[in-house]
Amino acid sequence: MKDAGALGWVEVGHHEAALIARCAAREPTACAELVSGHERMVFQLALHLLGDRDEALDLSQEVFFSVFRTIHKFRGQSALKTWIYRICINQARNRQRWWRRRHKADQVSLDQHVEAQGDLRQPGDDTAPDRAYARKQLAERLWLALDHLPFDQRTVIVLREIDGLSYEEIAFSLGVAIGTVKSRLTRARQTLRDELREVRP
Amino acid sequence: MIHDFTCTDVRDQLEAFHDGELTIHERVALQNHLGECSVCNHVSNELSSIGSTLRDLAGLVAAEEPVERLRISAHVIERLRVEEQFSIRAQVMDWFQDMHLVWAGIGASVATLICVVGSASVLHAASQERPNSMARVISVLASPGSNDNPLRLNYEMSAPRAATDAAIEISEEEVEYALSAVVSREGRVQGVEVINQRPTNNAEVNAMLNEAYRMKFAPATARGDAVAVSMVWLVANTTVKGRHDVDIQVLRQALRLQTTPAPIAPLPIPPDAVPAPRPHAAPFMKPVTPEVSSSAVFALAAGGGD
Repeated sequence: MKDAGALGWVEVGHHEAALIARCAAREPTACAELVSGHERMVFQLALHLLGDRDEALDLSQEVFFSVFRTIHKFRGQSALKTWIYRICINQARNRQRWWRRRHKADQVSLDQHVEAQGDLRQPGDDTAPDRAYARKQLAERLWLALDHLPFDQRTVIVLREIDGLSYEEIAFSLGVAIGTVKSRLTRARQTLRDELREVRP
Repeated sequence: MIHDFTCTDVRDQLEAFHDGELTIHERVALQNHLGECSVCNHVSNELSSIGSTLRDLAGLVAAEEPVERLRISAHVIERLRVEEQFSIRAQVMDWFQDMHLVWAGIGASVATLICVVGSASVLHAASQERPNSMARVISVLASPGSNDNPLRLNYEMSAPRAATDAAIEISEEEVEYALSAVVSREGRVQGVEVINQRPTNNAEVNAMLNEAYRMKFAPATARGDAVAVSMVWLVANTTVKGRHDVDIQVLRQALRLQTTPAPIAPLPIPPDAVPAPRPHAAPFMKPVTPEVSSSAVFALAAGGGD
């Protein structure tokens, strides 16, 4: 089995290493640089995992506090990005447990965003209105299905398809083996594919 | 190397293919198969559409929520600064906000104190020297040559020498005892035991042991220091036969000559004598010679005659 945590400082790069050192020394400009460099990534992942804007915003801030609190322990065992992903996922996992229980009823589904937008951006020359409607339907179904996936499967598919992480990076972010990542991906895709087949048989 | 994939192989590898986790050869072979097999191609397209739809959605959501408007960076930096400023004070305040924690802390401190006192007293008790305590055993083992941990004599040491006359009086004849003993640093004899046989005559052996304990030695020395050593002590009582024996014979002969008793037969009666009344035991009671030394012989003879 391939160990996902066996990368060195070489992976991190000199600029990142210097930035980390400055953040560990609590230099305000360095902290600001780190946050602004990763806030989009963190917020979007939190949003995809939790499905709620305010919750995601709160989680993003918590993630950065956690990053600054533990940055002196970071030894370049992965890229900084992967390490922040890991923190973000752990916090999201803790949070979604109780948050799901309490706010399941008034949880705002993200397909509202789709409705508000009215149409999806079309790849290529696919601009026919009926096709667009079908794609919108499909997107809504898919988003709902994603929302109902177990947390671990949702995380894996989001990291892979949206954030474009490799299996190795996903394995490090989740703290699991690569084989586990693969099997979770397969299960998540199976569920989503069934959903797709229902929409367009 | 060109792989020749079956549909089953392709289905197994399809996800890795989409996720970019295959080698270049595998990718080429898989793409070839997808070009030929419409079923596999359909499955592959489904996978692609999941990915693309998810990315579309994500893009849409991102457009809805411009991160720049959220000012995460500013919030985080501000809160970090505040935390830095108030961290210790805030923590201390937090501790005392809930008095339960204070009571728990006091309780824990008292419990710790009791534990420390308890363990200190146990340690104190343990360190007192008892002959069978572990501390005692360790200290004895750590000091070879002390009175409790005597050494074996070796050629580097000077053996202990008897300071007093090393003769032990034994009344028994022809006997040999091996005694094990320790000669202490002060030259005293300790722990004497008979080791070669079971003592038969207890009074005799005890007397001998008492004698042995009274002996005084110059202690053994190793590199100039007095050390306690174990030793085996042979005590032998040997009768030497020699001229002494002959002298006794001569003496006895002389004694016998001096103290020969009168013949026991009736004395011859002189013809002119009036027959005297028959004596009873008078001749035996009457010493022939007035010497005291002969009386014992007479008494012996009289006893034997009865």
